[in-house]
Amino acid sequence: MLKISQVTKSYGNLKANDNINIEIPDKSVALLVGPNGAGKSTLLKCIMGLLRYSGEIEINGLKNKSVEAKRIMGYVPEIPHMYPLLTIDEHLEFTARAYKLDATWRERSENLLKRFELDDKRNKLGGTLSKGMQQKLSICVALLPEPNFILFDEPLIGLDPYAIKQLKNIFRELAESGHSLLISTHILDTVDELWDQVFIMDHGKVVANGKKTELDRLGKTLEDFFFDVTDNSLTDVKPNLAINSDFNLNSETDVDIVSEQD
Amino acid sequence: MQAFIYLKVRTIINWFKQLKEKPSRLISVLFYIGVLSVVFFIPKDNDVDAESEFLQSDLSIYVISAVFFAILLILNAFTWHSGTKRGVSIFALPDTQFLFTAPFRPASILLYGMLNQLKTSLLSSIFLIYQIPNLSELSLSNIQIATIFAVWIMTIFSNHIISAFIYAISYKSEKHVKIVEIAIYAIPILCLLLGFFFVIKASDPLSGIIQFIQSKILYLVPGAGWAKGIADLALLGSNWLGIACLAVFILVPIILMRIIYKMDIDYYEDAMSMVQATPNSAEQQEIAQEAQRKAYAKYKVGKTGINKGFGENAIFYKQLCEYRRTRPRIVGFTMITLLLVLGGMAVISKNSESSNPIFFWGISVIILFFSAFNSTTIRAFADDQFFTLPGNSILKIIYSSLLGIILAMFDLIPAYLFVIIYSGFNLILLPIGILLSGSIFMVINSAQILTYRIFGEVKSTFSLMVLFTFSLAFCLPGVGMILAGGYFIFSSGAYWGYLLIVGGFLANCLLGLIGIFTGKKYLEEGPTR
Repeated sequence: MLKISQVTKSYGNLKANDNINIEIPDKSVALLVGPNGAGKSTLLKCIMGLLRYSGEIEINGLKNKSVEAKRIMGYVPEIPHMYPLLTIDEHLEFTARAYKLDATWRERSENLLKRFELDDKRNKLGGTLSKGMQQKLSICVALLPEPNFILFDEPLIGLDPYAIKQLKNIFRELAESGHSLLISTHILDTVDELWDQVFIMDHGKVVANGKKTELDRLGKTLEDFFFDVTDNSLTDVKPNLAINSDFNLNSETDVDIVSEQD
Repeated sequence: MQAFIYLKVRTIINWFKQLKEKPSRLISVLFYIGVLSVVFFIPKDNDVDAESEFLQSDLSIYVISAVFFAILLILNAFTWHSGTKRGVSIFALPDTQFLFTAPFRPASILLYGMLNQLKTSLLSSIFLIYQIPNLSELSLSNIQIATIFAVWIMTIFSNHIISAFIYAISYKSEKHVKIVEIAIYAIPILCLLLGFFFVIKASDPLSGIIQFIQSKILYLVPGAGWAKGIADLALLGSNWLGIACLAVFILVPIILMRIIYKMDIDYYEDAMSMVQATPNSAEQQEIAQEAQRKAYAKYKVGKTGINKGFGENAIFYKQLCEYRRTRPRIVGFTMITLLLVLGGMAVISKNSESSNPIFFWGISVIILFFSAFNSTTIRAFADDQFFTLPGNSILKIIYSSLLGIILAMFDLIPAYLFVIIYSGFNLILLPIGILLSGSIFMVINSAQILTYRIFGEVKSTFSLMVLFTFSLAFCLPGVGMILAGGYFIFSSGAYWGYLLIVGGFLANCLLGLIGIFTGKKYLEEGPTR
């Protein structure tokens, strides 16, 4: 389980993340959606331990910055950065060595390279890869150690249609095999029907969250939900959404307005 | 550790493999090695005169040891000081994705990053091998010379570990940084005071200095003193203090490495902000814009003249606008340095034989040579817009280089004016000196364009070293001819000295043109990055 408690990340006066509280259970797919500049990437970086912040983040009871937590986490950044003088194969081998993987990594590596059509480019240097190929390699590298919890930051950007299809299949397989995913995106059909939980961020806050089962029950799409929250002011959307305890609409002061039933 | 070694080894192997595919890089590497090898073919001077007899005396060994100590004292202070800030600037973008997210201890990554900088330090100190003939002339054996070089390399190695330690203990607060800075600079200052103490106490200043450089107290100085102790083992023979210095010198980095490894250091955010030159998220853009607003708010800039630009010369006006927004003051570091150095030399050498205009010009060229690497041309080449802008390629290159050359010549004016007036030289030397200096900049510009053409960047250690070598090699013919011409004119009034100066100027212009045409071809082919 990923548990984020009261996480605040400030840059001077700017609060990129403001008192974030999120819990994502095991074996679930969570979406982190929001407009540009909402603080999604910052939150993922905080989870990966790349930034300093106030608050607590734990993964399966482990502090997120510990070596043990890193071993069970995977991260696909928004913009991939490859070593210019390592080949595709060598990036994967380096990852295998860094995570101390057993000998089966080669087989997994082959499968990943084939799925993302990188197998015939395995000897190309990182510095010569196109942005799309770097993104594919970045995904392969994150998946190779088979982490329990994988964070994807805008994973579809730069991918060709075939790779998008493959990645969506991978999301499905990972979800079915019991991995937990947190996918930050502003492309709302990223995971189609795969997601279990959604968190909508705006101006550094989680302004709403909900479960797919309830959204389905209401006959609303993720897109409807997103625009209801982000297009209108909080008071405007409250009557539309606050009808069930599974939908939380957070106010400026981060007090859950939640539902009429509450 | 295994993963770090793999990363380093594969990077090095692939770098060499790349040379096969890029002949221009291979040629530049061979050229670089060739320049370095020249030192081994310099004939040894066997003439024994009074000066060399002195240098072969016992005192000369102490002088070598003292010079070695002084250089290390300064080097250590700067390297350790850089540890307070640079601890986080040693990583590249791929490191932030691959190392920071992997199950490594932050301390291990920091140590890896610091040790990775060894390459930079060693490459930048490779020019030390030019000292081999000088050391040989001082009757040092090969083992003694090798020991000096070994101690130098060991010092660089341990300095990186000490820098990592300094970062680890100081990064959390500015107060810690201040304390560490005071401690670092206290070491050379105390050494200087100790030297003064010896001079005051002795019967005459020279014997005071000799006593000081022979003093065993210097072995107590952290870093430089221990290195001196080891060097003295080779230079003066075995002694217990030297052996103790060797032990301390080896033990301190090992102990510090162990301490660093046990520390919980959280520097990833600083490292990421240092490597992300281009903010790529909305938050980072906001932060960067805020920082820029604060920086620009300091300066009140009126019309920058950008509206005068039209066609290719818009590049020049854009650069001028950027320059005025970031550095609105005319007086800068280079101008002050030139004024202080040349002015100081003019005062010292007044009425002496060395008070020769060409001597001052030569000194100014050395200073300008090192200040020329922050070039407007290289910045223009790094901008993709430079390639896509419509216009004549030659004009684009000329306009992109112009501001750098004008500013450099501007820096010279106060220093040259002071020297001319104070030393009573002819005022006509002012435009001539500036014109000759400008021609040097054309040559350096050529070296920069050529290096950029080969590497597609001038950031990596090796490309910088090649740039340095090219600049030096390109400058030599023109500067040599001008210096020789000036020497002959001012010492014997030989008319052909003027021909040499004109020849040097033309050689510089010719090399400058080669650079412009190399750049033209590069612009038309498109960026290699």
